[in-house]
Amino acid sequence: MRIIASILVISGLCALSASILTHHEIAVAACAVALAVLWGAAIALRWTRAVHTACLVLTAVLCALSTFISVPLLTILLCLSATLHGWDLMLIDLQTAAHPRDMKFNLARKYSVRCLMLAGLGIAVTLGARAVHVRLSFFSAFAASCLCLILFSKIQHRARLMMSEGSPAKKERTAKPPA
Amino acid sequence: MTRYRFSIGFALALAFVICGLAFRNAQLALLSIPPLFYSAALLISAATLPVPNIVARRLVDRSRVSEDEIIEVALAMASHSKSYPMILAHDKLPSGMTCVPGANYYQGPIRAGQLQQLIRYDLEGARGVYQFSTIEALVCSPLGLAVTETAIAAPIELHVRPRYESLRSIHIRPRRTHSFAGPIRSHLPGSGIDFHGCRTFMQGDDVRRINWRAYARTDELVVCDYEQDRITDVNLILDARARAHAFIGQQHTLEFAAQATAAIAASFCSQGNNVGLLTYGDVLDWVFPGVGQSQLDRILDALAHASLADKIAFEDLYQIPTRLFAPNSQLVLVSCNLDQDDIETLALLKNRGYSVLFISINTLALEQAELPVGNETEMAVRIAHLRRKLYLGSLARYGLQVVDWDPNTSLGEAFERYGWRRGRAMP
Repeated sequence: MRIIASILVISGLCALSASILTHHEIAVAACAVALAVLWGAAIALRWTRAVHTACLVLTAVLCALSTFISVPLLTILLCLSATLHGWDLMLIDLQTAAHPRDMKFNLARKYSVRCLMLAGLGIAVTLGARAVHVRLSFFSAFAASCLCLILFSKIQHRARLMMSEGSPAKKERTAKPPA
Repeated sequence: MTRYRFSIGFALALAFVICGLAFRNAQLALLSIPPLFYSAALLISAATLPVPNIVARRLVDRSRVSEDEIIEVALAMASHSKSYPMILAHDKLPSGMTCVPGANYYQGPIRAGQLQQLIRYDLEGARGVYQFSTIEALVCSPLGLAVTETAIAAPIELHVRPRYESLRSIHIRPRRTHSFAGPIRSHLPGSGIDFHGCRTFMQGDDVRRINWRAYARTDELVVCDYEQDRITDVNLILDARARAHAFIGQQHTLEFAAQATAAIAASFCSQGNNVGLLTYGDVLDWVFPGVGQSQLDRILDALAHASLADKIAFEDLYQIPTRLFAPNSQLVLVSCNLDQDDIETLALLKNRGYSVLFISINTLALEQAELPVGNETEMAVRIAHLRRKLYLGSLARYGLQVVDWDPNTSLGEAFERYGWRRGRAMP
């Protein structure tokens, strides 16, 4: 799992840094390389979940910065998707740290295929969405932001209820009807 | 964990959307789509993940084995509610147990219904009692993204007893014996094998026991008496005090002490004696004296439990609860190092009428193997050897029976070396 995660994350970040370098933004490219090194250390030394999440957030920030220096969207998407799924793999690896190696290898193999499919789908949809041109005024953008926030809180609340183990909602869903 | 992953993915997507709208940057807003996809897939995956309701059972061929034996374990699992497309179950082994080639984990589906055997593996372990509690399992959703962890209870207990060699009959002469026939000479005249004495013929004596040579010499009828053979009480004492044992590399001498105790217990039990065991060190672990194979099983179980301890209450052998032992019975102490106070305690026990046999574990050869070869080492070994000789000599002077056992050789050889055969005098 760690090998797959490190390959995903580091190759994504290297591709991004190479792309940034073509735009002569050496400082940002150096940041990308430093981030790749940080990721490598976090994965190799099995740092905590919080460190991995911090690395993911930093990578997302770097991806956001890259959009302002006209780096191709495909490269940024590739880097973001690879990092996201690398981070996910590392979280699963940390969760299954005590399990045997063979078992984790098989899990990683199946999981990676699904992640790749998901990432490919995500990138394809994003590239498709780029073709749609929508123009927003400031107030429309503000309203859309607020709507997103409200939607986020609603979805988050429902999802937490659904995912929490042994929660009343899940118990209700799975409980057998009384005889 | 799934909730955390979902939250981070979703928050990332939202952050991209809001930043995209704030900066009116379409590319930035579009970056939210991959995390959004990821979060949606995770949400659907979690929604389809059933609540784990799995039962498991470990099936072992034997729950009590010797150190060099292998235990076959079979893991059977079933689901009470619905089938699971993918589960990863790992049967974690307690420390001290190892899985000899074979996998102690399972990956694959689990069907609803009756228990089905999923994996088989072999275990071996060092002496001890091992508690197996739960099987850790990861239940994966059909999409494979959401994973939930669960612990399935399947408790069992395995006793790994010390291995022991079978000894020939050990010759002891305690002052008191029981009234049942056995192998121990009882100091009383009667029917037996060993000669006890002669006396004048009395009415009712068996004519076959008349000593005709004595009659020819003295012109009086004299009959021969033989010593009665009876069973006796044997109390084994396993010294489990940390200070009484040597640590050599990764191992300590308690293992050898446990093996010697097991061998002696098996020998005395096979002779039909009343054998008890006191493990002296941590707590007073006392196996009440009894006879037969079931008693040997109880003793071996107690030996499997024995571990080193360092308790002030059991610092000296003086605290040995002699009220547990029958008066004038045989005591067998198995230990490695005794200090002067302990030797005096043994002498005191001897004076109280107990027959004391001390099995001393000689670790000189083992310790020498750990040291670098050289003149200094040779000199140190010679000094240690002389000190040990003096120490064993002082024990013998108190009238204790001592067997010096080097674990590199067999215990039977050590007994033979000291002439522990029927009819021969003790050194």
